[in-house]
Amino acid sequence: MAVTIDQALVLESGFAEPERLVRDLRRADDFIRLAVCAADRVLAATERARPRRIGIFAGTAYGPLETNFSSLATLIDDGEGRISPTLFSHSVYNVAAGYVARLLGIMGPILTVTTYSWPFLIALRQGRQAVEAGMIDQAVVLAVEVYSDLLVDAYCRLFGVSLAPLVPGAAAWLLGRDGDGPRLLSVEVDETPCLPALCLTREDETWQGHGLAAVGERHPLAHVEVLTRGVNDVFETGVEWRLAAGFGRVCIALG
Amino acid sequence: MEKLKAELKEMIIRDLKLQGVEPADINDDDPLFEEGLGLDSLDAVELVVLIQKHFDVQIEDMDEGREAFA
Amino acid sequence: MGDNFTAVISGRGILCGAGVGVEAVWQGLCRGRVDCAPVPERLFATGLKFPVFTCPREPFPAAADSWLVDGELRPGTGRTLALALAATVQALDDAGIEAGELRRARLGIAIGTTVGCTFHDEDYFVAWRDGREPDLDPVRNFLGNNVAQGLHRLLGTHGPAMVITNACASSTDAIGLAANWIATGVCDLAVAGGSDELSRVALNGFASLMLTSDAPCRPFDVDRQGLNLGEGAAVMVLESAERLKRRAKAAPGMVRGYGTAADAWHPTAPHPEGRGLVNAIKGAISAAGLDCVPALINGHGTGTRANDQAETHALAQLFDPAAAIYLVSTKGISGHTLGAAGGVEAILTLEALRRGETPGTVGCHTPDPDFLFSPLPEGEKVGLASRIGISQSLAFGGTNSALVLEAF
Repeated sequence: MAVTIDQALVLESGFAEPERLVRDLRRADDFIRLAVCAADRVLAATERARPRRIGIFAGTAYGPLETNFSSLATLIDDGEGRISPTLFSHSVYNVAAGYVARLLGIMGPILTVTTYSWPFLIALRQGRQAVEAGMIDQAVVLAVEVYSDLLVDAYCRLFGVSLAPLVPGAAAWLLGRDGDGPRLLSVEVDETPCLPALCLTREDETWQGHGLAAVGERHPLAHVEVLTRGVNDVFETGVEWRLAAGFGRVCIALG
Repeated sequence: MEKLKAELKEMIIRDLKLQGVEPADINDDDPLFEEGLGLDSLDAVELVVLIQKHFDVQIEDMDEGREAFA
Repeated sequence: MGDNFTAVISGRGILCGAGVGVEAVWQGLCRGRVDCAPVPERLFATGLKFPVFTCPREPFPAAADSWLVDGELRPGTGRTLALALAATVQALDDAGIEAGELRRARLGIAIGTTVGCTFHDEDYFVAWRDGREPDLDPVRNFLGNNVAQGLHRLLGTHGPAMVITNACASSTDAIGLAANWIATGVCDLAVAGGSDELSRVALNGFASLMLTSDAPCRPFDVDRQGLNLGEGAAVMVLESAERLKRRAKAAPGMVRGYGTAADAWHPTAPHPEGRGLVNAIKGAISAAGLDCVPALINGHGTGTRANDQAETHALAQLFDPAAAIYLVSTKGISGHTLGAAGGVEAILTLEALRRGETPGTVGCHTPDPDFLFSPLPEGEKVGLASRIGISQSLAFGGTNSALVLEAF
């Protein structure tokens, strides 16, 4: 049995929600909308496993930060006992994965991991492990970031720049068993600090396409976008992707 | 009283973010939950906070709250 | 998992409103000691009088500084991280692991939290919103307090780091996933559990959701009025049976199985018949390959109307209510510690299994007669027929997770 990457896509903000989901998304913020729409699209093109045989693995660095502040604002402005219960409950980090499960009828494992270091790849490793162990047949692996104005301002002041490279968006990969896509042989993470770099390697060749430079920036979605493009455009068998950042290296082997 | 009813309907539609509903669509004795406006338990507690905030009253107990809304 | 699933629990660390250390918390449980009060001023100012359970003012004892690679805890270390650190060094001591050995190992750290990863600095937020440029230290602290990465940094260790933010099921998931890491060789040793400090936002949030009780909580009781929040941290050290054998150390038990499943039902309310929980427990039992039924189920048992109803409904679909399987909740002595709850409860489950007996549910005087599966009420104490038990959690977002634990 091989774990395969059967679909991979990136969603930027400004996308259109499917009409059938509008009513159920009435309380949802962008963090949820991005996750639900990315997952909906990635599942649409493939035959789906049974609800209990699909899992959701979401990785985020900052979570629903804007709603966290909206919720805090109702507490500060309206007083104690009057925080909005809707905003509060929608500021919990697993809210997006929960919405994806509910709106798309998924009843397998749902996991949200929060880290500044490769959130998507940590989720990918867990999703791959769950498919490989036979716990599920399909894994929807998500990266979602919405940031917040407060964070953008703090970023600019921390790094002395006028523009923060924090663009909201989401990415979704669908992992399957023995599907048509490239085989995801391994996701190895080594957390030893090292110098940042990113390349695709095949045997002894090294290839660096444009766009890869974006990974050097402190943008938690940049590497996901590059890898997603890699899956869709420059896939060849025997490719290894190696990523490195200040917090460690990752090696993703495809076959 | 009519003014209060109109304010309440507007608040429900706006703050609970109901989609495609106008104040005129809501009859005074429509049930709010399930088969009525389709509100759920999270809307119920949101409504309690909204009423406290907009009308400066206290609703202490959810069982009481539920009866008041039923 | 199945037969090859061997994640041994070699150490346990816990602190919550019921005490510091497994022995103290267990004694608190047996005596039914309920030590809760409105939020003390030292944590934060609030007008809400709901009782909460709290930990010591300085959760990390200076006597444990030798564990830290820098020799002391830096100012700006968040309370959630400090709580997690305190539970971790307790668990490492219990496992008989020393700092040098720890730093040479490939150590996996999986920690569940809810509050620990959010930015709640109200002064910064208000100043920023008013157009001022507040000092950036609160942002730096926010960025530096990821609990799993923070523990690696403070302990000077390396290996996988994962913060699980599955709301109130987070630490049950952390233990289950770390057990998988051990079983599949991702790391040599793992530190897994959860940690959460109390926050004004969470207290108000649960109050607005009308889930908090004015009095000590009464899980599974017919008159239950809601939950009490609590702060705490609980951590297990996991390793392979082979590794434990090499260092000739006895262990209290092992993680036999883990299952998790979505309700796909509602953002905050559990499925009324506990649909996802049924699937999660089935998954955990199937992973464990159990040849006997569990003797103890440590429920989520928050004391809210909806949780306790859903949970008992789920259990009645899986187990014979007449069998010698005892359902308890331990939240009466700890409150609901959110991201730490699964860890606190897994540790107490294992302790009960190890001792072969369990006290009843503190706060439950009259079990709700509507329940299809009855809890063991306060004041009773029963012997357990096997050394296998289940610790389970339900969460916002519709996450349900269960661990099958076995005492040696």
